Amino acid sequence: MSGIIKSREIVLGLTLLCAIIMAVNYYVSVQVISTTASTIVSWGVIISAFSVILGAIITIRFHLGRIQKKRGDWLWSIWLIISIIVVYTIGITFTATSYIYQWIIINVLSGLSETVYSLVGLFAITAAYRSFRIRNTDAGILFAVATIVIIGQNIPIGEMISPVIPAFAKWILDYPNVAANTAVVMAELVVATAYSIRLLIGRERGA
Amino acid sequence: MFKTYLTVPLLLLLSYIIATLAGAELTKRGRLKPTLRRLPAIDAIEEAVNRSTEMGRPVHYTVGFGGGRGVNEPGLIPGLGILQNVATLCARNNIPLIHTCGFGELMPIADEAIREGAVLSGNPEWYRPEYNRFISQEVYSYALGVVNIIENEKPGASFLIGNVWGEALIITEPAAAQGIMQVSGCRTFSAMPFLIASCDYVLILSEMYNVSAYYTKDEMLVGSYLGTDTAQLITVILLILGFVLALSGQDLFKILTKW
Repeated sequence: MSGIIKSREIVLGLTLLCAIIMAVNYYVSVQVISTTASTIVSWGVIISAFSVILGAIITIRFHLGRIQKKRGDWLWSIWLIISIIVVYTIGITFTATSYIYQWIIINVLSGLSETVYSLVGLFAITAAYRSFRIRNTDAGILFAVATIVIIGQNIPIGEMISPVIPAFAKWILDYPNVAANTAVVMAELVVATAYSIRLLIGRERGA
Repeated sequence: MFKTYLTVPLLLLLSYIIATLAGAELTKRGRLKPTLRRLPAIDAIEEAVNRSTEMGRPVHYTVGFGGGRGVNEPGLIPGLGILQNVATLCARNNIPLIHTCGFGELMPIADEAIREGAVLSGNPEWYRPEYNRFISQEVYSYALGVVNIIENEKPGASFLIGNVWGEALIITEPAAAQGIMQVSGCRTFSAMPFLIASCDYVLILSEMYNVSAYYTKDEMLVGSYLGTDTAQLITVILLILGFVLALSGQDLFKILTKW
């Protein structure tokens, strides 16, 4: 029985059916189809909500295994499990809108998130340093264009040197940049359509 | 009832579908013999897995966080397809794979992709549930969790292909500092410069959809690209037409939607 339920054809059939309903709903306005499409979307939302619990269970199971075997940074695994239990217990006992839960979110989670986000600035400098080393013609063009855009758009020195530089930087962003972006996105959307078809008829397989 | 203002978009979509299926069918029957040009970023996927094998290290793969949109982000689909390809290569070489998840609903889907990859390689015993790890539903916690895995488990190769947004540099820069070979890909223009700056190879938009055809050389898959090229040609013709009409003061988009 489980073999039949798990069979690839049933999964593909259900996926195809859902895809056809969603696509037809986009092009026609029929009550039955729009209700069915909304129901499918609601199922997706419910599955997403349950997936948070699934994620927590998988994480706890993985870290309990690590603690049991004293493998890697197992002491941090203890800390992680304590944090999960404490936050879950507070959330369930006092609700997510309670003062204590919000205190944890604002003073702990937000603070830590902002700290991590601030690393992006540092990493952007190291990444830019590596990219801007002129090793070939492409890197040379990248460096020249990036320099014009940086001094023309992001720092006031461009305007101080010449008013032409900010105007040229804006022209680079508005015309060559937008034209190239649009062309690449349009090509991608066509390829994505073909990919979806291959996926829905079950021909997209591994290497 | 049918939304008449969508007639032209529907006809365009149908022409794309017909072109794709016709290209695949004609190639399958042997009437056309298309070939795919070399794509260095796709070649690098196998090279990265082989490098990890030689070093005796695991391979790391993540599809990114996707701005918190979860499985609703379209870039996730090719990302999962490539995960299956990478799982196949890892199972063939018998090296561990670490897949890190940023949202729970991805877990069972990614698990299935890894399992399917193992089956396709002919080595289903390779699969382990611990290859698929949940990190966090919060973007920076997820990014730091991935960095922690990269620094502690020292993979030989790292893939960041799928939904990549603000977490791009936080994940790729520490990996680059460790000398890990990185292949990435995304459809988000704001994250792409970061990936190009910090990764060894980047799959740019449509390249992400070509991996299976490139490795399997399946006639139907390769043939479908002929259809895709035809569809792109239709788009270019429409673009030129729109450009010419715009010069004469007319709007092709308005003409088509009123048609």
